[in-house]
Amino acid sequence: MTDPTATSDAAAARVEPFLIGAIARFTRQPVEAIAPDSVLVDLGLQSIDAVLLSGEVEDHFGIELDPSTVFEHDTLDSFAREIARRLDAA
Amino acid sequence: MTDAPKRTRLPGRHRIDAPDTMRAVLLGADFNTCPLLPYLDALREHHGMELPHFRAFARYGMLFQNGADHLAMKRAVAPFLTARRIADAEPLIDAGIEAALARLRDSAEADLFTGFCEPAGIPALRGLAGLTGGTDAQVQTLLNETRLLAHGGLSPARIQGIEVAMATLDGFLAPAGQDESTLVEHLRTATGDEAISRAGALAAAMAAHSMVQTLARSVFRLLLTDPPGWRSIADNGLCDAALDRILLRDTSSRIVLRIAARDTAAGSCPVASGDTVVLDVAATNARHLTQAARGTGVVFGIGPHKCPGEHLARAFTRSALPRLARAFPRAALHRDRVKHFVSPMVRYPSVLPAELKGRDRRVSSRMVEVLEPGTARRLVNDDRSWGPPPLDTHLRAVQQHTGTELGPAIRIARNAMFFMSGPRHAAARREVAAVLGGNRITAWQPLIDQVIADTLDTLAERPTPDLIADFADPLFRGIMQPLLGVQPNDRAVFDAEAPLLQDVLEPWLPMRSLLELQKVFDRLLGAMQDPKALPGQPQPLLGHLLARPPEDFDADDCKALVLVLYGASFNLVHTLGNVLHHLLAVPGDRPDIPSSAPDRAALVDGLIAVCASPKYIYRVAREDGAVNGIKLRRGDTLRVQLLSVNRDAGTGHLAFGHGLHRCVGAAATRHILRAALPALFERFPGLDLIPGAERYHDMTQTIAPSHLPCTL
Repeated sequence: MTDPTATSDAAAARVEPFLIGAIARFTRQPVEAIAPDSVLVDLGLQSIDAVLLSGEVEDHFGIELDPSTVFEHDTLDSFAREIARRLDAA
Repeated sequence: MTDAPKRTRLPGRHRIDAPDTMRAVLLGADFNTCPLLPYLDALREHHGMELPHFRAFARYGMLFQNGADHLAMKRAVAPFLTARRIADAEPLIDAGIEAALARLRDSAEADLFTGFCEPAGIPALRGLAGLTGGTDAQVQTLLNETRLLAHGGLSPARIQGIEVAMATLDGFLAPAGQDESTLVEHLRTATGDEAISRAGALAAAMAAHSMVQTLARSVFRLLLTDPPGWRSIADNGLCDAALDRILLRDTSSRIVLRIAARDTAAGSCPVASGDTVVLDVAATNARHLTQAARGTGVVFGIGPHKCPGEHLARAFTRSALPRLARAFPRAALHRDRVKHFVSPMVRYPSVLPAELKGRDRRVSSRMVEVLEPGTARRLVNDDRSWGPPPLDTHLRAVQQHTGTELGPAIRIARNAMFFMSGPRHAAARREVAAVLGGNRITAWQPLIDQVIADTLDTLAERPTPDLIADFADPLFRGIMQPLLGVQPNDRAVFDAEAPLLQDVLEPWLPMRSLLELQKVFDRLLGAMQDPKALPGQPQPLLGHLLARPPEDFDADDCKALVLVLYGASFNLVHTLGNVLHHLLAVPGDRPDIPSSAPDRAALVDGLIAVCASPKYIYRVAREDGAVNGIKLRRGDTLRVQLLSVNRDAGTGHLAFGHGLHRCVGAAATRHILRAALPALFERFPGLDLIPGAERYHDMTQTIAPSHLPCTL
């Protein structure tokens, strides 16, 4: 049985650049200002950004993701792992 | 007289619920317990199933024994389960309860069955029986597997599962000579027979699971229908009389079976040898409650088969219930997530999800949940700091950012009073109150009474009546459509899609749901016609609005406003459903509907406080701030959980909200419930729910029963 954290590390690594790019766009910040350990709320993500972000994640990765999930994760890395977990499960 | 031809006659089945007849059957020598061995012999013969542990249980379990075998077993077991020994075991009993409570201390929510009732009883049960091997959790799971025994006619596969569970439990029994204070060791000394001792100890442990089931029924009843009773148990504990009443009301057993050993009679009813007599224990106990008849009902049975575990069950309940109530005085039950184990023999709640502490808490980085009444009251009174969710501005921003056409959704949000504020909101409130307000709703009384009468007539004809499909739902449509002026061109299509209106309540709707919802609104909006005035009825709300649209409302705004109100009024169906479930959920409790109008009004309002279907009230922070010490940023969402906030609120409840956004349908809801409840119970005094058959819609924002099968 492959180690679940290993597979999602790789998947998380694939997801993070996409998230950083999208969040940078929504919050009008340079990509460099956003890191995996950034706290999502401190980046200034509003309710509307959650709806837009989850919509883009769904279209890009072909998984279902409710906007409220964005706020269930403190850091970008934790949110990326959740998406990776759903990708592994899909 | 020539012998009548031997007719092969199917054994009869007689149901007994008269206390005196039941006593005679249980005390008399004409009736035996139902043997299990013949059934196991047939399984061995036809399926080659050996089932050694099952057979030992059937042979040495007192539940199935009769005559000399039973007497010998009873004489062996009785000296072990004395009041004296159970008193000595109280530290063991209390330790199991405290350990289960300790595990709950730092959780906000828990399933009080698998999280408390069962684990609280397992250590005492293991210690007394001598199940020293394995762990509490393993024994809990295995006992759960064996409880299926209570179902008659089990499939071979199920029986095999129970055999495996029994074999594993048997392996946990303490070896000989290890511990004098266990039942298995006691039986070894008393009988000198290892097989009898092991089967006897296992049978006792399995039977003792019923004390856990009965505790769960008490927790369910108290949390659902009697919070004051919960608090008084926390404050005063349980004296003997109070304990008697609790056991009488909440024992999990429904029926006990007996078989006639010879031609005899049960009361005035002749019973042939081999006939089965079904003793309706639940009905008899319920009768004992109402008539305060002598004796303690049949909680632990009477006569030779009187339950030997009475002292243990009493000691466990007397300790567990007050400790749980003291540990969580504000516990509140998530009634729509309760599950029941129901078999012909027993019924009890097997899943009991509850809020334990009722403390305000942060649930995500953008949402704080308010459970404390004080916090909630300050919040709903402060419209300056907290506003309704601004769905209208949110949707405009989404439309602008994505370029997706959200016109129809924005029109709905703009005219949904739930999300409105400012002058348009105030104008809408005035006009809606002109039709639905407390003093105006009485003009609709004739329609309300007629719809109730017609609905009761059709309910009476239903072969399998359901209080939602055949009462709450038709009542809602029959009253709210004329009242609001909803006259769709194609009623069937409209009624099928209208429930989707409720999805608009979900916070942060994903784009895909938003687009789907927008199509539904469009279709429903298109189906709404200008309402024709119906003979003998006042002007409906839509007619009233279209005649003189409020400022800044065009005709489509008026239709959108009424359509959203129609979606919101589904809460009438759900709340009425919750009220009916509340009144009938505890078998044996008969609802008494007062006759005087003021008393009826008080009863209905008290029921609304705890049965209203909305789970939450939402507010959004207009600026940075804090709630009960929890910091919030502008735009954060506050979710007021009505379950906890309304728990002890009585008439000061927030089920209709408060202030500027107080529910505009409050008067109509009260008025309809005050008429519907007495009419229903006067027409069907024997109305009852089919135990454990209630089902709920899978909705996140609303407590909404989907099925309430009943017997009239």
